[in-house]
Amino acid sequence: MTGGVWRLEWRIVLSRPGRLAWSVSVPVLLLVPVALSGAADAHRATVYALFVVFFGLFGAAAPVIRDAERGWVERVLLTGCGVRRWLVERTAAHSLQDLLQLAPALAAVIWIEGGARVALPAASVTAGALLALVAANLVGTLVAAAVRSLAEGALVCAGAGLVALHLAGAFRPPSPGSWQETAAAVSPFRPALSSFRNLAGATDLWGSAASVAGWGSAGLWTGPAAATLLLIACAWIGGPWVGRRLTGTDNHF
Amino acid sequence: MTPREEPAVRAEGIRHAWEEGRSALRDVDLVVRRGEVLGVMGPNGSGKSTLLRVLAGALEPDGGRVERFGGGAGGALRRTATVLDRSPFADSLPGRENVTRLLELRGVPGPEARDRAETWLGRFGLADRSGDPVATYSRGMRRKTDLALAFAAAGDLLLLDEPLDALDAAARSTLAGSLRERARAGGATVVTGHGAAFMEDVCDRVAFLRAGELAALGSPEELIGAVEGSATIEVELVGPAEDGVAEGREWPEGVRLAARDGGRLRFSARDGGASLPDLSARLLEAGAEIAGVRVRSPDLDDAFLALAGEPLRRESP
Repeated sequence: MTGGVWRLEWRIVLSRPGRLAWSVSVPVLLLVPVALSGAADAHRATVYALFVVFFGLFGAAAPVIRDAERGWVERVLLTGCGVRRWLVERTAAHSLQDLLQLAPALAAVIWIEGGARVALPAASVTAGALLALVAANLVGTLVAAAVRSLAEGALVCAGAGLVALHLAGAFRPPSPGSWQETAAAVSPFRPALSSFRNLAGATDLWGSAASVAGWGSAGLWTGPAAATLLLIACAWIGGPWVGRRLTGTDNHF
Repeated sequence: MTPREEPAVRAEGIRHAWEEGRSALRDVDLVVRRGEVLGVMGPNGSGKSTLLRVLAGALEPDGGRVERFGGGAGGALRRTATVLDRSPFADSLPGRENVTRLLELRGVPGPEARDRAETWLGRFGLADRSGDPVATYSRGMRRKTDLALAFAAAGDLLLLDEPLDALDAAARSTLAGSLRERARAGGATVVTGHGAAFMEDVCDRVAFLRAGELAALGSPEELIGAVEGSATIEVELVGPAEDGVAEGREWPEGVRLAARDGGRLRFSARDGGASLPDLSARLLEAGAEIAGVRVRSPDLDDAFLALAGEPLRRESP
């Protein structure tokens, strides 16, 4: 039944109110001090983006690794729902859940950074964070399929997150005309990074808040959105491999 | 052949080896007919669970061919309900909701899925606890939830891996009754395990698996008929049996030492329990101290020993 995995994932997360409250509180407790810290604008923005990306990556990989180890993934796939459907519906559900869990922290950061004057950056932060979370959830699930333990998964996620943010231009502005500039332009993590920079008042490759979030910015979002769709397509094509990896050797779902 | 007469699964020449090169299955041929309960017995590591996964369509064997429901693997997962060695659930959700949601993933509409979940959880004695989170369930209750899910799925093929594990007597009885009911309705079932009495009770045919090979296949009566004696005499000695007690001895006529496991000797006796006094006397002469003696009819355990050449279970000394 279409939407069955989506509904199941929402029921699971809503049935654990304590864990949900914890998942909402931790980002608030970690990001608010950063917003109040008086650190350099660009550094604060990088920390926000880093947190969102890691939240999505670890939040996807760790539960998938644990569920695969205890046989839950195999249980779900043995229903015949199809690994590709599982992958897409699970990623969609978890990306939205991650965004909702991050919402209070992001709202606090937006309020501290700009008060009521930040409607435009706030909108682009939300959209950028969602795009980053979708990509991070997909990558996190693929990492979970590739590794053999939770520790290995954490290590690979940390490495992948840092590389992804570096390619988005988080740690060093790419030279004009270089391949790094192209990579940054199509990175699914770039909109979140640029939005946080605008919010924090740091200069950004893409320009001002208006140029990032305004109607004229469609071209700036096209590359990252296309890259995210490409990631989804890769996950779709690699679905059977993911199924084999997550359910033990040789399973074909 | 009409669809009704077609076997649920036909497996030919199934071979499979694990990554480390260890063979799990070697040229296994097996047909699972509609309306039958097929038992698969074998010691730990003999390939029972691997065979079940192959039949489920969840494991692609290295060699051989599996035909399910007269076709390929397409849609086979939806038509197959499988209970594997673990019983994982969404622990924070109630048992009833776990079963309902997993049935929905199989394409069962919501209201019907809820009805089926209530019915089968009730049959397995979980009506009072079906609203509690699975995290609060014991191992046996998780197993019952798993079985309720498998029966509620009402698949054409039901595959149960060691279903008796952690089940209480009432649930075993429900399971046996439900399997017979399913068979009458034309459903095919494969069940693995070690419980000789249960297998004899519910299975129409039993396959003996030894080191990944099919050692024997037949009805329980046929298999038990292959045991030489009309009785099995089990003698429990105090402490492990010394070689001098068991080996190289002359036993009463018609009595054969079938197996020795630590301090437990298993004899097959052609003339039933009549040779017991003579047998006991010879053991005492050899210096053995007898802790207990049991005379019983041969069962599938004995048949496995006779046909596969090794005991079904190795008991700790």
